[in-house]
Amino acid sequence: MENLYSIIEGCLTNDQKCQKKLYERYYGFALKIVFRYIYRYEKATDVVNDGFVKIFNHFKKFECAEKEHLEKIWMGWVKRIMINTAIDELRKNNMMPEIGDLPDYIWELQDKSAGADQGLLYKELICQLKKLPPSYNVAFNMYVIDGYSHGEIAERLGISVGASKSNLSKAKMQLRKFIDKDVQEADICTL
Amino acid sequence: MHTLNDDDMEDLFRRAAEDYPLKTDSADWNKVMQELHPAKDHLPEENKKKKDYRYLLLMLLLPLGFVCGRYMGNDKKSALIKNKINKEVKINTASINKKTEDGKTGETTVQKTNAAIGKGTRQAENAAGEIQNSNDLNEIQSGNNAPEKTNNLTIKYTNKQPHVPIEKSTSRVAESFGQVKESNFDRPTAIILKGEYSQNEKDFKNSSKNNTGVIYEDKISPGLNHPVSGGKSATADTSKTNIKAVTKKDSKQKTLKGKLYYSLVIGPDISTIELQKTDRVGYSLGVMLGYRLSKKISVEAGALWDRKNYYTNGSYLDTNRLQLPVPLTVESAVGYCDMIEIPINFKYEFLTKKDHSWFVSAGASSYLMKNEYYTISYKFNDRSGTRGYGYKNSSKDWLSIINISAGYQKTFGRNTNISLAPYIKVPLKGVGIGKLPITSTGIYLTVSHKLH
Repeated sequence: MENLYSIIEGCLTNDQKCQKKLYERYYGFALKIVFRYIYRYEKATDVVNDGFVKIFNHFKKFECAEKEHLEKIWMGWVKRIMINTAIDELRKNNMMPEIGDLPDYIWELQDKSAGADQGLLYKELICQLKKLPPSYNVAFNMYVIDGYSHGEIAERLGISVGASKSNLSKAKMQLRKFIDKDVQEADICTL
Repeated sequence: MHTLNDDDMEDLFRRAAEDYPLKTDSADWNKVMQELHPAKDHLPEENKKKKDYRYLLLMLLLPLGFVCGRYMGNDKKSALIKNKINKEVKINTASINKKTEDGKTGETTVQKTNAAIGKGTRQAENAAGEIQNSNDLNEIQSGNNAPEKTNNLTIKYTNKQPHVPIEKSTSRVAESFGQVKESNFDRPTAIILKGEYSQNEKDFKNSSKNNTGVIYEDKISPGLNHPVSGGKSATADTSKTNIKAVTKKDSKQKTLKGKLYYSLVIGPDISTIELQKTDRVGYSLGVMLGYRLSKKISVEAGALWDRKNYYTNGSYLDTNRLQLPVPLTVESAVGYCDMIEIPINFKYEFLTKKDHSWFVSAGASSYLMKNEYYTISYKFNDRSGTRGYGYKNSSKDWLSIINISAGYQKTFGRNTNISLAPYIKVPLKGVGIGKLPITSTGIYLTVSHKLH
């Protein structure tokens, strides 16, 4: 695999081949982030593409002082841009919830290995997360999974810190209901 | 019972966020490249969107078919008729030759003529053959133009064939419709006239005075060349039989092709659900293929591309297949659909005139939904809002719609009709992903052209 440093250097000079390599290498990573925020799969892919356009248009803003942590810093930068792009998309639609089930073709087929059950569990958890109203979903994603503070969330969404905390609390309550129900059913099955 | 504490739950979700099994093979670099470098055409040849030119080709067929029918079909037709006539002339000549070789003059028997005898009267002074007997002549005489007594109408024959002078038709019918064909032989020939029968009858009466034979082509029954015959004379019968035999064969050959036609259809569409308020006007356009079963009845089938716009109260929208979240209550929906409609209709023509007629049509349609989009007004957890949702290739509803229409059609030229027909389409059941009972109405403008 080509060195990330040389690819990034190529992108700094607007080398299209390097841009393409970078895009293809980190597309999956970006999509998994965006898909937690954006309900529809097709829309999520569009948001990812918009995010990469922003990345390449403002590539000169990327700085990495520590070469040994280049990939970590790079992935952190990509993550931040993708989250911002996803939130912009949600705010454009006034944080309206999406409706409809998710089609099966967007999920990777699971084989019958030990990890398959875990994969199914993770899939269910993410689906439950996506079913939350957008304001709860964003609060949970940004605070619990992506490590933002309530202040940063409030600033980004244009809400108060209190509203951010309230949204998070409600999100946790709804997710807990699902998990407790799931655990209860599992206990019944094992009896 | 085990329960997760907050920290465990959060940890579980963090792990899920990293490892959940999402497909990530949907990368499309071309889209990103287009945004980054919009000035250049970076799309590789194989990725370029292919424009659909199929409908354009259909439009090109229309004038092509018209030109072929006008300039090629007629020549073949007239050549065929001419060949047949000439064959008959040869037969007649052979039989006459046989008679005249005997050197007899006086009354001889008319066996065949080259002309079809129209309905009504005729005067057979310069007939191609002979008059069988005086009684026959009397029978076909009209009141005012009765020829002289039969005995005076004997024809003297020599070895040379009788020349029947053909007056070049100056009739209105012949000039407007006719193809005047004169043979180079020193024999009686025929004027081929096409037009309305009644006009031809008048013309025939005029031409009969100069004993020009006339073959009629019935315009109402396109593609069929047959003589309009009648009268009581034996000569009329024999010539009628000959011409019929000739033209029947021709008509058989042309029957299938002459009965097929294609149509281009376009029109506005207004759709409603259970007579609720309507939304914007949609449209319908497409092609139909028709087959004429008889003079009045045709069967038509085709494919139309429809865009229908409609509004509905939430109670009519079946949400089972929409898969909405349970607490969502649909209050109303505004939607549109794009579909391929496949109609099969029977058409009945009446009050048919020379160049126009009225018709009624009835049949059934199938709807193959390609796109559906609904903007749904809903209530969700005590909060109201609207949301849009689209579906592709959502349903196929076979023969679910009854079509009824009535209209007026006018003929232009020989093979082209233009018609206007208001219609109504009534559903037998709900259609589309929301199983909506869509009733549609509108008006079709149709341009039809016969296939040759």
